[in-house]
Amino acid sequence: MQVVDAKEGTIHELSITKDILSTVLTVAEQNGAKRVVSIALTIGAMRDIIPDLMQRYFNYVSAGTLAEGAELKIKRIEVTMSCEQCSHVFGADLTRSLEISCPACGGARANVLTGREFRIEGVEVQ
Amino acid sequence: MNPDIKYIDLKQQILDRNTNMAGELRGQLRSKGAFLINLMSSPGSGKTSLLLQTIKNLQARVKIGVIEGDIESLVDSEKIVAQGIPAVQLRTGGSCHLDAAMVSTALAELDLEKLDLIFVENIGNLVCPASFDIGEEKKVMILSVPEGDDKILKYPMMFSVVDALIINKTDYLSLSDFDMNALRTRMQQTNPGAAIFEISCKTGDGVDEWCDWLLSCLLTATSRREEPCSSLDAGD
Repeated sequence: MQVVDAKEGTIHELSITKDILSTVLTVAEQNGAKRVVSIALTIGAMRDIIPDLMQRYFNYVSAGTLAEGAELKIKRIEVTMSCEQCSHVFGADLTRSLEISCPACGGARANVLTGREFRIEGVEVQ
Repeated sequence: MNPDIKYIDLKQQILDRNTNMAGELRGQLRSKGAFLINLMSSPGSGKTSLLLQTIKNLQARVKIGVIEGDIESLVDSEKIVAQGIPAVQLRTGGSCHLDAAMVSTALAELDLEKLDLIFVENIGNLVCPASFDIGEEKKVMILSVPEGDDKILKYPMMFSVVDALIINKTDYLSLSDFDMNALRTRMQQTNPGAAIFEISCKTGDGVDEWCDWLLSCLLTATSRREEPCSSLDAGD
């Protein structure tokens, strides 16, 4: 049996924050920026992300880089569902209600339309 | 606004690099005819037991390989190897999920030309693995009866992204107030396309249906590969 060590892995907020930092630094350097002021993120409500924790991790991983001190502006997007039967779009709190049905037709089959977003929208640089 | 400050529009997915690397892995695996399953669950829901049952059922017909993601211990992969199945143990330290780079390292230890079906046993966690593509063709989640039918309310992201949900330890149903209908209704309301299998790894109940589903996935993948006009990216 082969054993492979892959211990560079981290908890997910930290991996995600490092990923964002690396993208932002590349863009800042390409644009000859002196520093990164803020980073606009769109994160759906279904992504288990704690914004305060992300900012703290970001402060930690960005220390000494062009992005040190940058503010993460996180916009959360609520969950909406699309009814398979009538295509009606409706909001739903998937963590609470045990019964979700389409408010327009009562249909029981629906797909997640929004709430999984995970994007860097843009960066403000100086 | 400070005139020195410039806004640069990016519109880029977070974890783009991981997603791109996973896409490349998927391409490599398809070209070698290997089908990757990303198996996710809470700790203790029966991932290794399911693999052992699946191996017993399919071993004569399908060449199986296993990648085990585990924080430190080797006990799971030793059980797999004892069945004559090639297994790679990824020791992940404190990581809470596998990513495409880790899986790529592990795949390098397997002879992909000789395998049809590769299971990646992800780290026991229902949060982080939902966000990381590892080059799989199908995401499969196990929920065990003792965990309760309301887990879907606590981890909606995971339940909404899986291609199949296995409800394991159905031998405990008579001892618990687990409401199978409530869970099935709830899945229809958020992920109606997912296949659902009720299994007991202890008694073997339901294992055939799950294995038939795996075989039909493999068959679809093979026929797609043999279609001359089909793009490798079809179906993503």
